[in-house]
Amino acid sequence: MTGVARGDEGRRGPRRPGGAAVGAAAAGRRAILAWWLASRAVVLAAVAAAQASGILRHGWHASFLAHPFTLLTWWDSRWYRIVASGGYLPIPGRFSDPAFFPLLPLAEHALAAAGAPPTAGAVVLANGGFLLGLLALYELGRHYLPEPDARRAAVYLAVFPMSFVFSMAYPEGIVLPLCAGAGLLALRDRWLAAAACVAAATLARPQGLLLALPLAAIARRAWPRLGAAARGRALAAVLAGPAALASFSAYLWYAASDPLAWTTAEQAWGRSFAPGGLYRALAALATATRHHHAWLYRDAAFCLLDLVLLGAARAAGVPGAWVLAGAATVLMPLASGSFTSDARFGLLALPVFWGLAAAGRRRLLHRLLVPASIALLAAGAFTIPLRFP
Amino acid sequence: MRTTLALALALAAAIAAAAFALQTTLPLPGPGARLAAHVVGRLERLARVDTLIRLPGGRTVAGRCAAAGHGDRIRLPDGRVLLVAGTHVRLAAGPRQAPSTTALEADLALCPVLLANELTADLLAGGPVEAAARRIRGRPALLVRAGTRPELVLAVRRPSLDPLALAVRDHGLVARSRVVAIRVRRRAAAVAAGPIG
Repeated sequence: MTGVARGDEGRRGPRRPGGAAVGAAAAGRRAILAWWLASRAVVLAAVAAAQASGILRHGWHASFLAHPFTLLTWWDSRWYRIVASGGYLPIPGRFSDPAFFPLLPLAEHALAAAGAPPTAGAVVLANGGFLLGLLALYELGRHYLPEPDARRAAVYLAVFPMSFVFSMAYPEGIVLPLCAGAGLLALRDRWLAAAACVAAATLARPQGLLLALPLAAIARRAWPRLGAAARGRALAAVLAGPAALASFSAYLWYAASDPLAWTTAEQAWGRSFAPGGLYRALAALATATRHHHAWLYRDAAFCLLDLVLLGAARAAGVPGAWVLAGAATVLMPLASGSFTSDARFGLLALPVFWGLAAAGRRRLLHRLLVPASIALLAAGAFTIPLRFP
Repeated sequence: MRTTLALALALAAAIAAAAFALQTTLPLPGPGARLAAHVVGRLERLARVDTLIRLPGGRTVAGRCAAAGHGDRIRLPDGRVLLVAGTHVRLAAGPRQAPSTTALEADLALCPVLLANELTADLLAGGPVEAAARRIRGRPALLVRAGTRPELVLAVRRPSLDPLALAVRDHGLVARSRVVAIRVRRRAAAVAAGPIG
């Protein structure tokens, strides 16, 4: 695999509209496409190998030939299917579906209505969305960092150990392009399109709300040169996340008589936002081995890594609002009392990968990072049956 | 500035309205599923249920099922004790019976956790769950019909949703039970419903 530039040479792509920059951007996109293909091949191979190897839990009898990539539709994918087929139904005291945001179920429902298999369609959507997300991350990164850094950030995300989630029937593959796209569109003063991206991202994952931070910073910077109408649209883009969340609450009120069902349902999974949430998360981590929750260390390790990389991103010149949104993406779930799945949540903290790209300017580190990430990506996909991401 | 703010709020409202409209394309659970979910919530709060069980063949036994940890414990008059975990039932003490009889008795003992687990499983599986309004012994009641093998028909009191009676249909056989007394979990709200009918 070629095309990953190193070093901090070169200036920021979009500020240099010359032929060289255009050529570099085109080469960057081709490299990202190649890395996306390669990384997804690794994920598919690992998932197929896991099913063929027989490590699946006792009681699983689907044949490899019948469903070679069935692991991509495991765990939370089932909950999104339940919403898509039956709608939201809170069940007091039990695991129930209002904990899962509606964008992916809406897509699956539309696929089913069009005659397409909804779960397989969701996997295709997630993988396609991931490619768009990588390209959008690259374009956005070029606004803040030199082109080689932006390119490396996208490549590192493609092969990041937890990035197998982007191939599952989970919303992350759809949210990534929306998050990066919102920032990119805002930088280009296309505020209404940015607002639509923010709203859609929030309907897919609550972390979409945090896009208000970088968008507010972009709007603030652009404010003096915007007219009254453009200012209104910019402000609407900042408010789009809360508006979308309000619409979800209103829908749950209409459909399930409980506007807060999405947060109530989380309690069945042991999540509830409370002042002592961080303490509970740390206490759970301290006793994880005793309670056979050793996988929690994976989430805690990624949380720590994410925070370090956010610091690296800030040091590399990434705007503070993006870093702050990234930090909130990683840290806010801990306030609900658990590190569980924080490794997955961190995938949407875009500056993490800009920080990793800045670290990867060192030739040796870059040479270690890529193969190590690919190996861990394969391991992560292979162990999907053992632990949900 | 006022124009800017007004435009921003109008656009944000339009975004919320469009998002709401989009969500209305999702299916809505039927009245049976919604009632069953509420019944699960009520069952979660029960600490003990005493029943009179009429087995196929006409034999009648008294059952007492009490919540025990995350499951239920059933005591039957012949000395048997059944433990329920999830939707699995095992004999903990007393003479052995056929597994199918044990499972049937566990259902008919109207164990709160077992019944809640079975209803939840049916709801999540997306199978048909139906509701109907009835009067049972002159009192307003609701029927919840769920599952296919076995099919459960649970009668609950209106509006409290306390269980009244259960019918289990499997392979053409029908067995029934009715609730004699219940006790709710919270000590302060402990209520003995008393004999019914």
